[in-house]
Amino acid sequence: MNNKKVFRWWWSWESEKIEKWIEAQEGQGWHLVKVKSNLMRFQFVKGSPRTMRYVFDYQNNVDIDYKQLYEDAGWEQVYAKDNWYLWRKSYPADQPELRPEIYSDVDSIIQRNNRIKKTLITVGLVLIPILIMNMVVQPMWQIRISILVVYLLIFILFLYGLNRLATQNRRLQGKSKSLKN
Amino acid sequence: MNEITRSYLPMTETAFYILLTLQKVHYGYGIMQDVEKLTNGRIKLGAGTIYGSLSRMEKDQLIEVVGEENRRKSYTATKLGRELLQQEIARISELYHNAIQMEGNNNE
Repeated sequence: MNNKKVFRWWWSWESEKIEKWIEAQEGQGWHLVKVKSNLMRFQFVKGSPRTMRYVFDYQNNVDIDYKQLYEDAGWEQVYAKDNWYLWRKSYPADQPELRPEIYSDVDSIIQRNNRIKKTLITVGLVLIPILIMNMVVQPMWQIRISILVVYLLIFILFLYGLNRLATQNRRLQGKSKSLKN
Repeated sequence: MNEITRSYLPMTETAFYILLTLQKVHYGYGIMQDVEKLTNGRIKLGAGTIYGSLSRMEKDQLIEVVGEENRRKSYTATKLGRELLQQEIARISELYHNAIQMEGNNNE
């Protein structure tokens, strides 16, 4: 078999886990050729092992020089849709200290996390009127309860994600202060 | 000086080196290369870090776009940006001179 498609479910606050997973696939010779279905379906082709850094970026409204700047810096764009970008760049296998990053300081990671947080909050707020609409329209109380439970679970998940991002930011902010002052 | 400009002081190394290199006109990747050379490879600015910093500093009017060619914007520091840089250089000079002086005292 020299071709495989893998479905991986992941949350926007754990992108690093997927980055490392794809990098491990590349290390075993599985070259990523296509990403589909909102960054959940990954298609690989068998080849020789590569040391390839993969990194997700989240940006609102990028301007024209975004892509050019990353490409100038040696990154190749693998995916770009709905504010999500996947970039890759190879580095020497025997020099892990050269593993490239798109964010070289703490502040830019905090800002990226804040952009993801803002989107989660926006989507969460949009869900509330939809929930109320559903409740008003639906005459059967059994269905109303089920809808309520589903929404509650979604909200808990969102709050969990926001909390994860906020915790990471607090940790990073501590680091940033100790460097600056 | 308003809240925004004050938030840049003391400066992060990223902001400092961007303003320092933008005394001349540069585009994003040029800044990355210059900073790596100036610091003998110690600071390798990431593409995302440069992109975010340039957008924010442009919004805060510390730098401005002076040209655009092949999808690459070129920037230079504004008067405000240069003033902030001078203030930061004064602060770093004070740190440096005090460090040298105290070191001298310790060695006596």
